Amino acid sequence: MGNMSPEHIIGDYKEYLLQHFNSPSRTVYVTAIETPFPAGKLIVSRTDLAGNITHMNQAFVDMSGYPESELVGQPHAILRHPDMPKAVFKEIWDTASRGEKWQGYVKNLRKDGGYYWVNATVIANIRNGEMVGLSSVRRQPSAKKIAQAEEQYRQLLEQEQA
Amino acid sequence: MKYTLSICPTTPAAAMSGWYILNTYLQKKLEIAMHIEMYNDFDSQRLAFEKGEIDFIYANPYDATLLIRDLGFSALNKPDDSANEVVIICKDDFKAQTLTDLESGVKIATANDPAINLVAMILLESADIEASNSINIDCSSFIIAAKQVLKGEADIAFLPKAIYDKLSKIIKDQLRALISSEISVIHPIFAASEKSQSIHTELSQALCELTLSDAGNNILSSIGIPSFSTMEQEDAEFMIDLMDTLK
Repeated sequence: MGNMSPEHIIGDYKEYLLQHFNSPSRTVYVTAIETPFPAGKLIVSRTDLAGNITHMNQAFVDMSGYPESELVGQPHAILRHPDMPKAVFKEIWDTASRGEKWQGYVKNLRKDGGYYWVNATVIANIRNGEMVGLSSVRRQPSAKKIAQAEEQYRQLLEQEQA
Repeated sequence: MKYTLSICPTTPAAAMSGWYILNTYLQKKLEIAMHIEMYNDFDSQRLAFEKGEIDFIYANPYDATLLIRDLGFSALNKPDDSANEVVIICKDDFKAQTLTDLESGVKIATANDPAINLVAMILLESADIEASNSINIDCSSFIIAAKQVLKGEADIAFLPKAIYDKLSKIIKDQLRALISSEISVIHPIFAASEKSQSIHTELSQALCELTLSDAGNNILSSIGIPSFSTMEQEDAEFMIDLMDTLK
């Protein structure tokens, strides 16, 4: 997963350096442009145990802004927005690894620097008693709960950066 | 051995005769004895397959987890272009123009179809409507649920898209679709019990080959399914994973 390219960004942007758990740091460019969640749809993807994307539906591709060929095999963190605290992703992994369902709000980063909020649910894919990956289904978020998540994540991010 | 086939309790009445014809067709084709067992609701059907009384079932996706992961059924086939899409309807002059205009206390007419209700409630989440702040009006069928909206007894109703699309123009003109789902990954499954394993391959193939004859196509048309495809176990596992994220 390489750095984002400024030529793909639409609108004024800010630059951030993100440190990912399992891969090198990544420079991302972020705008204030929101893409609304497509009404009536679900965004679906699966990853392997290393967090690399193995399957996705068309809504996932459309919302990410990347062509499918640039998503398959890439770490799911390609969508990580700098407003998201690291602690949330650790919680997702820890919860799913225990065989439990994680549900919460996530702000994702698009290829063009814009963002979109999702109401996400993540579960482990168990086959023959063994965890083989993660499935994530995102549904349309509520405006009220986005506001709550924004505040919660802002506080978490401040704690992480202190 | 005599086999038992069961179908989803919310199967439209118009499709019932088609299922009986399909049952007769499969008996002749596979040279087996099989009868259809109908249940009035999902609870009594679940009880029957838990007791081992059903060999083949055209099942609601909501039951896929129980059938496949708990009871050892195999998913043989899936219907093509028959996803469980949902339309949330209201009366044409209803005050809410979009889903997010819905308010706490909204009255919802529902038939007892767990997959349809699950998807529809997920759509309502974005408007902060959930079971605890809405009023459910149980209806014995989707058509009765639509009538509740027309009469003003309910604000909205959940309908399968297949049923909404077939409503007459006179009825449709009085209604409005607040939202339609476009999920596509959730669909019924044709599943088979472990004890019927000896005919799984033949039965699955017979369903896939219905499109090859006029008689088969007539049956498909009468049950409202364009064709059947085989279903790999991993396809079923993936759909179950998705259903589990939504429950």
